[in-house]
Amino acid sequence: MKKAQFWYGDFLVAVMILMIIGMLFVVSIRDLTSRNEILKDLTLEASDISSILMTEGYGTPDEWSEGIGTIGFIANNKFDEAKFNSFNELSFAKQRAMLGTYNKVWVYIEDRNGEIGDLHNLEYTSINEINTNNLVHLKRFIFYDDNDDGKGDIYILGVVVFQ
Amino acid sequence: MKKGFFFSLDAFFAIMIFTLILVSIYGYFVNTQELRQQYFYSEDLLDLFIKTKMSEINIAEINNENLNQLNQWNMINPDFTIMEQVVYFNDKGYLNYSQWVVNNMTSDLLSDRYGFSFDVQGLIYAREGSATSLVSRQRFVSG
Repeated sequence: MKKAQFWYGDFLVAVMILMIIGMLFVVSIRDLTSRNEILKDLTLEASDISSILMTEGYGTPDEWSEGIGTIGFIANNKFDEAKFNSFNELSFAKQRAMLGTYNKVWVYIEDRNGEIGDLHNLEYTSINEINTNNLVHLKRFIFYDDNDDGKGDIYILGVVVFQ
Repeated sequence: MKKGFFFSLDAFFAIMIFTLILVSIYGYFVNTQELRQQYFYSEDLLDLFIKTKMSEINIAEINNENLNQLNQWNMINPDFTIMEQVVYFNDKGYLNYSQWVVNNMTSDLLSDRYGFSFDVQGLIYAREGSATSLVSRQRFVSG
């Protein structure tokens, strides 16, 4: 066997390795891009939902239960617990319909000490309990008077959209 | 120098360039900065500072001695909004009191990965953070 044949064989092996690396690279980039697209959509939804919830909303809670109006938790620039409870009383399917999403949405109120009390939909009490790869978590600041004494504090309204 | 050495060097450079190109393409897809959260933080804080009066804040609940101290000294005007109170202290030359108010109102709200600074005609308060991206929001205020 001549020297040139060895070189040709080496060249073939090198091309094979290059092709394998290239394919792995393209596959990983494709996966990454599709995941980024999903996260981008979830981010847009979380952003829209949080902005809707930060408004006064439209319609009465009775109308909300019939799927009429827009959900909003704010009244007089403050968080309105009654509105949140009305939202929470809706079935989960109706909550999603009213928020205009097919994805799951976890909404919660957290104080500045990081404690999530009873004010949340779904059964989660921590973000760590949600087991999914595709999740977007947005936090908004609200003013909440928790005992109706005319004094309150800044709380976090958390919105988690996930699949 | 033998021919083989040049071949090895060429191969080495080729691998280096190839790897660099792959890493930079990969990095381009991975490194997508999302600034929405920072935008909401800054907008919401400005909204709250402008719309919330000092009388509405449960100072005892915030549990910070600086704000309680100002309250005990009757330095806090309950008719002022948070923003007006900050501007008032700053105008009167009590920059540290302005810092206390901003610090106390925002303490524990932002996670450690976020830096935060607050300017009214100059820096009032800053909490350091290594900035890889930055969002700045502005409002006209009076006080």
